[in-house]
Amino acid sequence: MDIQAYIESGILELYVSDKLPENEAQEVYEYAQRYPEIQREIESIEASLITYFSTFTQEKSSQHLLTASLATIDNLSEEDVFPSPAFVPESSINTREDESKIKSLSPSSGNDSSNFWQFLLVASAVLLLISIITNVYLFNAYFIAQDNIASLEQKFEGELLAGQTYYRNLITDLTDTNTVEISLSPIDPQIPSEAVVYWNRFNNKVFVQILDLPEPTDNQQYQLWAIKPEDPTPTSVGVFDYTQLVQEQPILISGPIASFAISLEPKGGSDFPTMNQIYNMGEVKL
Amino acid sequence: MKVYEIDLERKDILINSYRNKLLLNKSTHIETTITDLLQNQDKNSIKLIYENYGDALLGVIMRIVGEREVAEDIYQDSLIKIWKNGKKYDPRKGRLFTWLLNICRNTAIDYLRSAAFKNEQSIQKEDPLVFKSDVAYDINIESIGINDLVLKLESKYQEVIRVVYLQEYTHQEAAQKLALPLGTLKTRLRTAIKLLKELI
Repeated sequence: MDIQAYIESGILELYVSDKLPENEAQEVYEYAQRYPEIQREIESIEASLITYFSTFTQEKSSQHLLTASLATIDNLSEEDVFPSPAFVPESSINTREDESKIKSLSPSSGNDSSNFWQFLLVASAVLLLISIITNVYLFNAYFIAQDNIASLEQKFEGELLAGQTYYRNLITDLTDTNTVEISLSPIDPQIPSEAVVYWNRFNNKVFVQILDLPEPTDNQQYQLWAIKPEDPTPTSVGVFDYTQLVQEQPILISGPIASFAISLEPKGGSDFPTMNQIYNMGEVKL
Repeated sequence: MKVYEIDLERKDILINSYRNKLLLNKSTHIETTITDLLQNQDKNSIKLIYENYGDALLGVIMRIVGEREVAEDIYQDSLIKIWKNGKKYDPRKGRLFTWLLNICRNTAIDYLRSAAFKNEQSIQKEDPLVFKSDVAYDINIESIGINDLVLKLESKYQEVIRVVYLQEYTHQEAAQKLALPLGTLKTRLRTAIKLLKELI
């Protein structure tokens, strides 16, 4: 849309004058919501007109006009003020009318059978009305609930599909012929811990599976390390989430690799493993 | 079932936060404040209208009826109408200023149409809908010394503004009244407002 051309067409000046057909006015309103330039232009047209029209007064309007108007407003009774139809539900009006009918009938209904039937008729009408209102209400509630169920179903289907795709990819990765499984045994036999690393020699992806590791504190995280055959400095393969059984590591690692190790590090990981915190280690056997 | 409830609650929170964001963005706009106050039947709405649009609205009424004293009465009536009908104003249907302007303009035109006015004018055999100001205003320019702004704006531009904003014509009727094609009316109106902006 060419906003400048739209502004230059003079349509906004007509919009401010309320002279546009309803559909065109609606269009301008929507564009103004969408394009700040249009909104600004409308405001600037208004500002010019306000200044221009103000010059017609020759002298400023005096405060007494406001005071007098407010005094008149104070004296208006509640009924004088236009009630907003949107805020008065029709059902409440009807019910009130019907109730008053019942009250006017009941005192004379004593022994008069025709009055009794009349009362019965009105009572059934009221009950019918209440029933209709309840039905409409419940029917609406039912539709809202149905909509909510539909949107939840859609959401769950999406999540299910995402889950399925994730696990399908995971299985493909783990069963790939280039993937090597490395069991990481505990360094300290007193602390039972067990984990498995899956490393794909071809695409360099690394997965870690936690079988048994001591639970870290809130400010600690386990980190996976790869040790190259001729380089004593371990390379970080990233920290991992203790609660997730199998997860892909964020770092790809290319071979050759002699072994993998797991250490417990401060949250976020370290550049170099804390040597007395190495829990598991496993040799890559090709 | 538990998941379902949590989800509904979350949806409400989202809707509320979105709505608050919208309100926050627009809170600087005086129109929004006035609209809210009108909706809540708060008298401060009238104070703010008076402060922000008062002179312009009184000016419009004066331009239509010509006499200050009459214009002030109509202006007060208009403020009361605005108050009474405040809840009916819907920002989606038009600008607040336009709505206020319409109420004032229509009240002033109704006054011109009123029986008393007709009787008074019938002696002179004048059409009540010929704006009194068309005659009186020109005289006022001579006698009172009007703001430079009005004098600087060429009369054809003053006329297009008057016909479009101060009379009840539809835009087609306005074009007919000025004997202009609709497209020319739009461009002339645009030029008039542009010139006004330069003059202000």
